[in-house]
Amino acid sequence: MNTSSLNLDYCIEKLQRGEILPENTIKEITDKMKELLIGESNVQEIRSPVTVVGDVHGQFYDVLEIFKIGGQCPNTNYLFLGDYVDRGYHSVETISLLTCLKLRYPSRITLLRGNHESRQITQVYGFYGECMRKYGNPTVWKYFTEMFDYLSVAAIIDDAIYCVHGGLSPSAPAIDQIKVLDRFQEVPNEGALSDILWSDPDPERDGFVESQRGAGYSYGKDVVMRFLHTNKMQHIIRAHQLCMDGYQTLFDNRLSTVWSAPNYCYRCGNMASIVEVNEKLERYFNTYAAAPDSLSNKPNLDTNKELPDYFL
Amino acid sequence: MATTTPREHKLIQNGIEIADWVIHTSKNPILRSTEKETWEQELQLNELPEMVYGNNFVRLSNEKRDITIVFNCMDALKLLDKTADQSIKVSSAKKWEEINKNFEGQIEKSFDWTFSSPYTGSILSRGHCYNSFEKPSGLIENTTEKIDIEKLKRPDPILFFDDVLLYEDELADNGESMLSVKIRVMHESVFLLARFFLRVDDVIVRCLDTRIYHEFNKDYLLKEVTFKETNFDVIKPYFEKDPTLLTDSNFIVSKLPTRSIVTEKILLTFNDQK
Repeated sequence: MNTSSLNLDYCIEKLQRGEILPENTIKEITDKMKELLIGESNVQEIRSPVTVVGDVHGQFYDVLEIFKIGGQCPNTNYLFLGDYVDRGYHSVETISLLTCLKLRYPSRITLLRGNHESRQITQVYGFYGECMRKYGNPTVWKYFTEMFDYLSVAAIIDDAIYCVHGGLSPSAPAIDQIKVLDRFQEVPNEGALSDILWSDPDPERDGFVESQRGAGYSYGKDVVMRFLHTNKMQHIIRAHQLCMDGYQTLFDNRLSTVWSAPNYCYRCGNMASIVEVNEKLERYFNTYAAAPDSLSNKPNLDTNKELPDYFL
Repeated sequence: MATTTPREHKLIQNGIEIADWVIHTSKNPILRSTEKETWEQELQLNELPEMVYGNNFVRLSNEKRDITIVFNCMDALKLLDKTADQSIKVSSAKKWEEINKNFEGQIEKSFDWTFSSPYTGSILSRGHCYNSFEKPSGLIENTTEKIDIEKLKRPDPILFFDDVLLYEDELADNGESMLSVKIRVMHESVFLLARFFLRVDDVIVRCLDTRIYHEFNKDYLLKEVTFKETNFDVIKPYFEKDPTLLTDSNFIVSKLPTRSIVTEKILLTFNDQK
């Protein structure tokens, strides 16, 4: 693996101390990552046992906690369902660490794309601004967002559990249709690729239901049952939605939502979880609260914050 | 030179006792999903904001005058429209509709997905809760008086400060909707700003500010409600230069045209006999 000067173990240790990597190293790891990901299928086939992680949103100190709770890489296999960046204060550290771990242990860790792994969304919700603050220019943001275009969009554990960031699409009822999508692009605003990264289950209504907002679908129990039957799957694990308890199970235990950002945005007070899938395909939700380091490492974005707030 | 006269006060848990007032706040985690379902039923709403800080509040109580001003989540959600404003759709809606024109499924049950509550606080008195629209005579009266911003700009010591969220929603990553309340107590006065802020990316920005200002030696409080709204074109040039400004609501609000300002007095003499 290490044909160049790149020392991944050194990078991983540095990141785990909370330090960021230099710009040229980011260029190197994102280039290598693209070479690695281009060979991966849209739908990754993986083996149990594996621990599935939902949205982490730049909450780096909570990500370090996940490895403490779930086991360090490569002792535990991991599948991340996307939304590594935005909202939290350490998107750079989070995506840098996950990228290095993937390069170091490619068969032990799988990273899928979430709807936040996109140029458009990261410009609005924090990752772009964070790169500007930490590197003084948008180059690192450009390297990472180019890399995001190469991420796979779904995974199947032991031919039985289908895993994806958001869910199902009316334009792709069969997994084979997802396998042939052209994923190497910015997340489009519509179509199958967009739907599977954005859609939510709806416990109250059957079918695909169009959102009041004018874009986006939710999918009902019948859609899930049909998808599982058509594709000979047992269960769906997805992320994308905040759950106060860290997870939620719907549709007679055929679909789970896993949420892995505790005390989301440093204020919601919610629990988080990771799903441990064993060789018998039993699922165990390992729940946890925010890491003590998570709040104490909140940066002082506004240097006036310590002064009294004379709001008007 | 302007100076402030120190006033006797006592700090209490999450609050302060000063003049005849007990001012306090409450901050808690968001509601659990089962609690949210109960609220949805009670409020007869098809959907609540993703993050409902149902147990948070800001309360200013004057027991002697039997007047309490409160900002809480439930009262704000009670004033939401039960259905969606069909004139507002997310920016991708048009293209989405074209691509999905053959879609024959249903449309989600209606709800105001922007969560634009006209809430400007509630007042409790005589065992009654007056909502933001009720204006009993003797309690609320129109005024031309303005909140003295110059006084509020003075760096007087702040005895108590808090910033309390009531609800927020990420609009499925199409912007943000948020209701929050800031309060600060000085020796001479108390000042509160409740702000509803809505940003639908590439579509609309909206802000409803409620400011409450009270000088402790006066018999009334001033309540000023400012409504601001614009389509995105007005503010878009700023973001093209610097996309990070998009999440700076203070900056955005400062650039919005004001649609209306209404100032009222809340009279502490409401319950005085004769």
